[in-house]
Amino acid sequence: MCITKYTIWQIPHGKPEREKSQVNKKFGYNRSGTDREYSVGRSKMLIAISVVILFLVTAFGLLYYNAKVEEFKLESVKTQEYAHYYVMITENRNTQFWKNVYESAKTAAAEDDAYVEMMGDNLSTDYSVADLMRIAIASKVNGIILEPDGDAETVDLINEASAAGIPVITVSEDEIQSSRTSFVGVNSYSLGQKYASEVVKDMDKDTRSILVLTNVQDGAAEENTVFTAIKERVAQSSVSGHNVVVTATNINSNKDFDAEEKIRNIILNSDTMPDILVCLDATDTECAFLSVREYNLVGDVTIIGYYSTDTILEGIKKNVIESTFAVDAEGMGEKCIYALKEFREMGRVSDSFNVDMTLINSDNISQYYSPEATPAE
Amino acid sequence: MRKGHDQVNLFKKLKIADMSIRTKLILVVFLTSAIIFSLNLFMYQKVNQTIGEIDNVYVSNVSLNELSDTLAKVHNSMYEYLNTKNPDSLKNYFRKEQDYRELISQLHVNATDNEMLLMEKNINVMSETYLDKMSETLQAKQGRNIEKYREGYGEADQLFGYINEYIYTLNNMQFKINSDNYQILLVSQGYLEMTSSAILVAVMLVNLFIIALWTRNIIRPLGQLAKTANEVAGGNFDADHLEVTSGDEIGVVSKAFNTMLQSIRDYIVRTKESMEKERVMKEKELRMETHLKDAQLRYLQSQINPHFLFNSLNAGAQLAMMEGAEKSCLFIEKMADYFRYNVKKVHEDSTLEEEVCTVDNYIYILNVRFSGEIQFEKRVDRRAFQVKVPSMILQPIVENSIKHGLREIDWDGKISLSIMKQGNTIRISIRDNGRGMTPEKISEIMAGAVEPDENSMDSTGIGLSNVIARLRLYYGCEDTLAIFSDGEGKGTEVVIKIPLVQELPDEEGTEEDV
Repeated sequence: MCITKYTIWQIPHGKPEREKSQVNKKFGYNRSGTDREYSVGRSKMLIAISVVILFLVTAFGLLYYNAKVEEFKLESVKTQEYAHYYVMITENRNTQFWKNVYESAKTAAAEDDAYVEMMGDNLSTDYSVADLMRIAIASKVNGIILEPDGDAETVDLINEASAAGIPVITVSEDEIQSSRTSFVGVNSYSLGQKYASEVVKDMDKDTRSILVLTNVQDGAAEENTVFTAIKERVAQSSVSGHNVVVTATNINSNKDFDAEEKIRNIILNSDTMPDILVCLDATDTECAFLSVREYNLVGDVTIIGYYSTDTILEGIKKNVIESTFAVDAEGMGEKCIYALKEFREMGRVSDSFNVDMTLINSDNISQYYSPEATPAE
Repeated sequence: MRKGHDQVNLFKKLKIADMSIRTKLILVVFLTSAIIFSLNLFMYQKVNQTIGEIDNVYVSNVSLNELSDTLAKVHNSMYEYLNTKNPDSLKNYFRKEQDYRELISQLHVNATDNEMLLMEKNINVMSETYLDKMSETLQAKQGRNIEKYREGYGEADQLFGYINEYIYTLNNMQFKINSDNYQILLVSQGYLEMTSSAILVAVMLVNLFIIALWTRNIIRPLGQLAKTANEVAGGNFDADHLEVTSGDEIGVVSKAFNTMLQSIRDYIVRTKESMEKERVMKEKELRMETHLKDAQLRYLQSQINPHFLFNSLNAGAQLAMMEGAEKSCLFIEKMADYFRYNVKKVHEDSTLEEEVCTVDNYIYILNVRFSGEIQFEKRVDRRAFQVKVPSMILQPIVENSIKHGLREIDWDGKISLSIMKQGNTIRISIRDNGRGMTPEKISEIMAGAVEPDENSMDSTGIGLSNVIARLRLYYGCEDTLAIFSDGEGKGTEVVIKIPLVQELPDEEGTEEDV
């Protein structure tokens, strides 16, 4: 029986290999366990990536929103402050000519630490020159650039402004009777002579009537130097060999759109249509050109215009307008500012500043007119 | 540093992994909700900012309206005073003038290229001029200078109109800009709504993804557990151990499952080991038993060693030969052969032929002794002669038949021996026509309960029970020997069936002897 007991208690040395590997597997540290750990690690990475994506989506969404909103926001204009404040007063502030004058004045003023405002441009009420003068005086501006409207009240207000120490520079038109500080514009005499020369040049033996569109009251046409000069020169001329009637019409009334209607009437009426039409205003010139072209009367009337808007230059290019006198608007604006600066610094200033004038006709139109700039008809 | 960083990471990892599922789920929901909530907060802040801007839009208009109203009051109170010289109106005028001065003091004063600020400046300066003019008018009124105060009021009235016009224009400008701003705000509000909706949708989708991923991580071990449990249930105890990466409930269950699986495996291994040990032990026990049986056999055989008799008989035979007594000599030779067989075969197996020969010798001896009383008849298939059997099995049976069957009977005793092939066995039958046996006696003999008569002088000393025991040990089979008897006086047959381990030779031959 002892032998039997020995047999029962005989224990094999060491564990079998298979058993050992199973023990190693006990807590999942086997190959498949590594794969699973890798899978779990990958899931964690995916979660981390998702969170990053989430933040990126949010960030990009907000950036997109901000960018979109910025697109719509009005650009905050840099506000520049100036030491001096000038105003420009004219009834014709909406014409291209005055806009050019204003822009050049503004640019010139900025260099002189001054700001020029086109008075009444943004007001809802269409104030008269006198009202605008009063506002300017009440606003204690540092200088007034004024195109006088020939009204007596304006003269008083010029005097009042001068009395209040505000220099008044008259532009384009002068107000000799007032105590204006200086005048910037074309010398009316030389302007008259130039127009007269151009009229005489365009006259032929068939020329019977010449009409000058002025802005002075009917019956006071003699006060207009251009009209006077033309009348004198035509009378002296012997081109036609017969009497040529030179008349003047005031087409600048207080009513809007009056000028256009009047010009149209003059051109459409064979009795009143002149052989030579002299316009002393850019708008008048444009109206005359457009009417002639519209009613196909090209060649029936010779138009001598004023200033050089794109439309006027187109008219010259198409030989509807014979010639035009281009006033140097830029120079005009700059000279106004110069006069104000001079007065401010020196206490006095030259009585007048002459502005250059250029004759534009079919000979030199190419220098001023580029077809690309013309709006399509 | 790096090590410390790693440790912090490990700490974090452990911390999250060890959280319970509930905490993990709460964490998932909390985190995703926190993201959406913070986004909402941000959106609310933006919306509030927008609303604030909308509010600001009209503030400037309101203050301009206040300016205009105050100016109108100043003007009206002056008019009233000039009209009625009511001191209340004058008081009112001064009060309103004070208010108005305060209001205009907030306006811009310097020249600027900003249209609106320039208008403010103009309103400011014009208001000063206006108030100066009012002051002059007042003095004139008090000095009763009628002309002057009328003129002064007229101018002031004109200025009042201009200032109002400026305020009105400025108000319009501001309103226009404010309207533009309002439009911008509306548009930006639309964009805000669109952007926030898009972001919320994106966040929702990403959140869903995160939750799906996270919960998959939480739930996946459960699936693994179920799969492995099914495998184990299906009988595969070698299924891989579950991965335990977290310390949550599933981690605990997985660990317990792993431990259980390992325990089952260990148990199976232990059971197999103990079964193996048991088998080896049994085998050894069997081997021991065989040895024991062998010893017993040798012991039994040693009991019937008749060496001394054999030597004596040889001497007797030689003597008879010298005396010329041939029958005695033959008798003694048979005796000698009989005992030689015993001596020779006591330690080894013999063949059936030798056994039959020994029975012949024995019968011869007995017939000499008892004057041919016993008829012996044998029918033997010679092919079975070479079959190995334990020695001394047939003679004791024959002896037993003679001793207990044929003695003291009134009829002639007869013994038949037959050895026949029967299927896969050799059938040896020893039949007598003696007294027969009762079934009880047969059972007693088969159970070994009958002890051989050791003191019988007429015996070889080997009893039937010894033969039975040896046959059983030799063939390892209980029913090798069987005793049949039809009862008292009907004789007895002892049949031995020896399993045939090899084929018998082909030639047929039967030996018969009587």
